[in-house]
Amino acid sequence: MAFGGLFLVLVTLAIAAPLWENVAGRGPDQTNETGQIEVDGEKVNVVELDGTPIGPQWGSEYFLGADANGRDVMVRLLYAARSSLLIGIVAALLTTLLATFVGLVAGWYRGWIDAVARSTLDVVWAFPVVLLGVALGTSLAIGGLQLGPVTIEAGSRLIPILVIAIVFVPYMARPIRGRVLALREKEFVEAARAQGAGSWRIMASELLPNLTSTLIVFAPLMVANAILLEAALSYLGVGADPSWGSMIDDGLEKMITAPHLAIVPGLMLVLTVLALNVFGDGVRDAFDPRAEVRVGR
Amino acid sequence: MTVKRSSLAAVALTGLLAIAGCGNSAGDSSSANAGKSGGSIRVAQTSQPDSLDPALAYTAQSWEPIWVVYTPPLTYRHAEGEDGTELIPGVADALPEISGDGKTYSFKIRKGLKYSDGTRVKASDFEHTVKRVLNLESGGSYLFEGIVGATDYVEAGDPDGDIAGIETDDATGKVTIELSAPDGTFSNVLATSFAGLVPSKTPFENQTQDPPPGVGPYEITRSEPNREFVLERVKGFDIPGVPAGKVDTITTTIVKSPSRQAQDVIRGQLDFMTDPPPTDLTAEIKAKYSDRYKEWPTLSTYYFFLNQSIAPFDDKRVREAVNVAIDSNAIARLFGGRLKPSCSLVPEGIPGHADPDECPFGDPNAPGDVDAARKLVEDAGADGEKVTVFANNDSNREEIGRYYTNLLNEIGLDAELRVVDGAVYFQTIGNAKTKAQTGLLNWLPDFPHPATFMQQIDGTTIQPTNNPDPGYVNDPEINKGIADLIEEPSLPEVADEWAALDTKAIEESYIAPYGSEELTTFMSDRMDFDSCSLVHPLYGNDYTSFCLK
Repeated sequence: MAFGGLFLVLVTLAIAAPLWENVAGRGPDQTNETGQIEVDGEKVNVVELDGTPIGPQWGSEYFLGADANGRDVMVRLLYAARSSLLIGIVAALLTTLLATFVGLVAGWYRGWIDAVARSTLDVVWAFPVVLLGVALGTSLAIGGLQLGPVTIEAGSRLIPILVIAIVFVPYMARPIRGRVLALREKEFVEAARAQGAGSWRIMASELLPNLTSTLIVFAPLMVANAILLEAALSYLGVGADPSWGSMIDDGLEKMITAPHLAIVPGLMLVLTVLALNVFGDGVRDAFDPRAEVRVGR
Repeated sequence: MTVKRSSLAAVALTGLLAIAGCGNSAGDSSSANAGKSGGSIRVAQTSQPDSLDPALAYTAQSWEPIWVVYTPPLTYRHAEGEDGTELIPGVADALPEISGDGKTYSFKIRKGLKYSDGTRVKASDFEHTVKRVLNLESGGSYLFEGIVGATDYVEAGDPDGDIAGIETDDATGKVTIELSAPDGTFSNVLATSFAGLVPSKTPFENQTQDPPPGVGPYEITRSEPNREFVLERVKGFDIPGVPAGKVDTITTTIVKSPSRQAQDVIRGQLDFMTDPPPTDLTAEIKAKYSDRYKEWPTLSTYYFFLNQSIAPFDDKRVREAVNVAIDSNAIARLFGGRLKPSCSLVPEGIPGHADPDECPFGDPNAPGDVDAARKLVEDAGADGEKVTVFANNDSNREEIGRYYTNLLNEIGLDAELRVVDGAVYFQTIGNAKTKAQTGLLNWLPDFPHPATFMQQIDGTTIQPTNNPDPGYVNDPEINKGIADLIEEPSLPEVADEWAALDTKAIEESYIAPYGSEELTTFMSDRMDFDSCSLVHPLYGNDYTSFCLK
């Protein structure tokens, strides 16, 4: 539960990003290459002529220093938290919805529907998650996505959300399908069938409630995986910005003179994923002590 | 030449790495007797060259290796400074004969010349070489469109069709070229990499993955796009004035991180990096490795292109707002201080460079006026207009893209940055379908003449793909001025008129220039930095001058 609390603290910090933006006086994308601030009564360049950015000032302005473009690292870090958490949580939710639907339908109907679903899941599962994510993300990042009347712009956060949601569907759908296969043989399902309930009614009112504990156990673990994949995508240039991944990528070029630019977002990522994983373990122990459910990596 | 991406770095690199060019059997390069022959070296580039096909290659990263693999009819002396701009015969046995009216050029292919695969070089290979440039819609097409029948050939759409203005005789080796109008730069055109001869059997397709044989001191023996390509010395290569090379094998690897490249050079795991070291490491390199590190001025122009065929840059006031707001000193920091602010298209050092005292928007060394720029955008009714800024992911380009995007937002536009991989950047912004509104561009000369910079604002060069004029600048006065001045045989006599064209282009804000880069050369301890380096004014690093201690 302590790690659950840590996660809540991180979420709170992310929500507070606009507040800190007001304190710092600049937004996450606001560059300031030729700006100056006062340090110990003296004017100091935010970015020196040789390109070296100012280090942590531990004050309202440039609390964690600046990057090569003179952007405030602390402001970017908090907005990156918003971005990473938002994308991670929404993607995990979408994965849950899609995986639950696929798992329910495949497990209930079986036959050719199950065969098609399983084959599709196996194909997606076969691709390394990061490679598949990068391939999809890159192709959609250039031209955006057109789904009938719906258009998603190239720079939209919906693209990494969709990409992450799709690649993780097999990881949830397969265990859910297995659970459904077991549940459909239970007496309460037979009783519902005997009372004339249709397939969709049975899936919604009998099977779904019995999957709740499984979904609750999956939730924090999926969010953690989604946040990690989002960081990987943004590190590789096909995700959101600012994001912890993109900040790590930017910071690597300044590892000698400003190592904190890469280390701090990396640390935030580690803490967040750790918090979610440990919290997830706790939830699993509470809801599924036999540990039937495991999320594949 | 578009120095797309960090090609400027390549130029600087050329200088340092070219140190090896000494003692070659047929060379004119410096330090003739220094350094040793043989050995292998490893070179790194941040991104894949745009192409290793001589018909398509149009960046400094690609021209460096292409120059020593595909010798054109004419070439440049392998020397530094002004000596390096002297034209000498390449695969031609002499400089061309030019008719009195300046419209007919003729030369003969050297007898007994062979490609690296042993195939005999024929006169008809020249026409095939030009056809490939035109047929593949190369960025260099504009250079050959003055040949009689070239436009008809393109319009006919038949790769095997004839170009009426090129006559060849394989028996005698003679090549005769008829131009539709005199062109004072055509001898330089015959020296560009686009004119590097390839066999007539070379397909009309991009051959980057399987580069064709050429005539040169090196051949490309392996090409794995986005991973590496290998040059190996050609035994028996002998063209007077073109050094035979000293190092046996040059392996160029694509390493995305300049930081890692610099660290590898320091550790000796890499011998040369074509891009400047990251600013993060520059101070350390200058302090500890000054014996193998240098910074060089280049004949380059860095600017933002402004597509005036679509909103919002179709309005002059919006284009002017960009020029008014730019702060070159801010961008200089992103170059680690290696940027010299300027306000002209033709850089200092090329005849036709406009005097900095005549900057229409004030001193380029002064900060930009964001308030005035914002007012211009408001007057144009363009506030809130969505703009996509294109940048590539090489070196510091993404940082410059961020600065520019932020600047456009500050002056009232709604800009967002789109970063494209360096290997496909120019193809992307040069494709009409992309509808790129604005973005980064930088240019090195195709040859030492203002015309090569002016092509970027010459409306007659606009083409649907590989467009050298992504700003779609099409000013009849400038087009005519360029066409008239190109015919003049004596450049010094018309330098002021070229400068006037440049000034007009800036006054109309057809582009938004911000400076000229100083490039770097950084080598491993294995390389003979002092004795074997050559920085060619056009091609940068001269691979034939590389040598080991």
